[in-house]
Amino acid sequence: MSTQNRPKVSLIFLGFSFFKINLVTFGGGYAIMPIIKKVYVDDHPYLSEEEMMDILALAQSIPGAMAINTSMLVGLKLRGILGSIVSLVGAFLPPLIVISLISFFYEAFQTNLYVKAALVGMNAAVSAVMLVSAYSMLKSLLKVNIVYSLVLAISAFVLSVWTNISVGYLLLGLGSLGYIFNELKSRLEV
Amino acid sequence: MIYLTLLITFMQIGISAFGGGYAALPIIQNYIVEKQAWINLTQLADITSISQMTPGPILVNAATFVGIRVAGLPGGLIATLGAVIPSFILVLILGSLLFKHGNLRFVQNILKAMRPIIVGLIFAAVLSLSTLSLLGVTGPAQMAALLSFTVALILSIKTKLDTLVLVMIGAVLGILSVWI
Repeated sequence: MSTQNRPKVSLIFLGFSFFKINLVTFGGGYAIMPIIKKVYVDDHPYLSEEEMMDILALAQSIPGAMAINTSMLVGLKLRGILGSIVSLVGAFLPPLIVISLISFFYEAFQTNLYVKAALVGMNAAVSAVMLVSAYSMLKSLLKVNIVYSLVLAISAFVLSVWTNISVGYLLLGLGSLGYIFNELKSRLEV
Repeated sequence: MIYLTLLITFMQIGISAFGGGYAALPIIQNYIVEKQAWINLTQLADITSISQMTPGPILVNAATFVGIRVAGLPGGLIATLGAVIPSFILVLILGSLLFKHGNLRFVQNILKAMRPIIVGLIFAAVLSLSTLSLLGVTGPAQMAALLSFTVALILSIKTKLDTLVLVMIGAVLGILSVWI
């Protein structure tokens, strides 16, 4: 599909579609990406499949919330800086509103026996879900480069659990090592 | 100036949170629970669980929640803005580069470097959160916690059930423990 004969998306559509998508999608980045693709590639011919893939890849590479990054990139691609601002506002308003309400109820119900008991069970369940999710992330990393991934992952784990090094320095230090390694590796492969 | 501290702290979190999903959690824990002590680990666990039942990324949810607790609604708004400003700036720069040149190898290499580190950090966060939620309670509540953990662990390995469902099962088990 060429860029010329593609319909121009309105800022209102951008803002409302991302508001709606972010309001009804639970479970964060990986859950929301297929929905964004459905709206912008399948339902409306605003983006090609390849353009969407590029956007999704970059959204995962930029730090921050993936759902928000994807929304901003689609906005930027279709309507420039203004488009990305409108998409950003559409995307973060739903969680902002919902959590503001919940935070009010949390204050009120925090001491309620049943709410506290429910949260104990929920937190335990979430710990298990996180463990499984971390394990599957580790497994997919190990498919590519076992030694490199294990060294970085274990160093990060050990340093974070047993030292007081700030997570920022940890990311910067270990990240630079990993970056240099990958840069050298991709130079050697070319 | 509390608003400025909120803004800067959440900008630091926003720029460190590579990789989506639970990636923001260890970083939030480091800055918010350990450095600033704005909320405790139990409250972070609570907001993580609540995030599974509400729309929106954990990063944004935590920013809103913490901001409101520290400095009311304006605090929530400022913390949330802080959390998304770094990604906004990077989206503008890297997005424009991508749409012009098509391929960004150095970005891919940064991500490749960050991924294993983030996974290590998530394991560390899982360790502290599960220690808290399983060993930080006693009596019937601990039984419920252990049971919820085991059920969620088995179901998320064996089935494709949504996290929301697993969290709800945990909530029900927790409430049942009150009557035991």
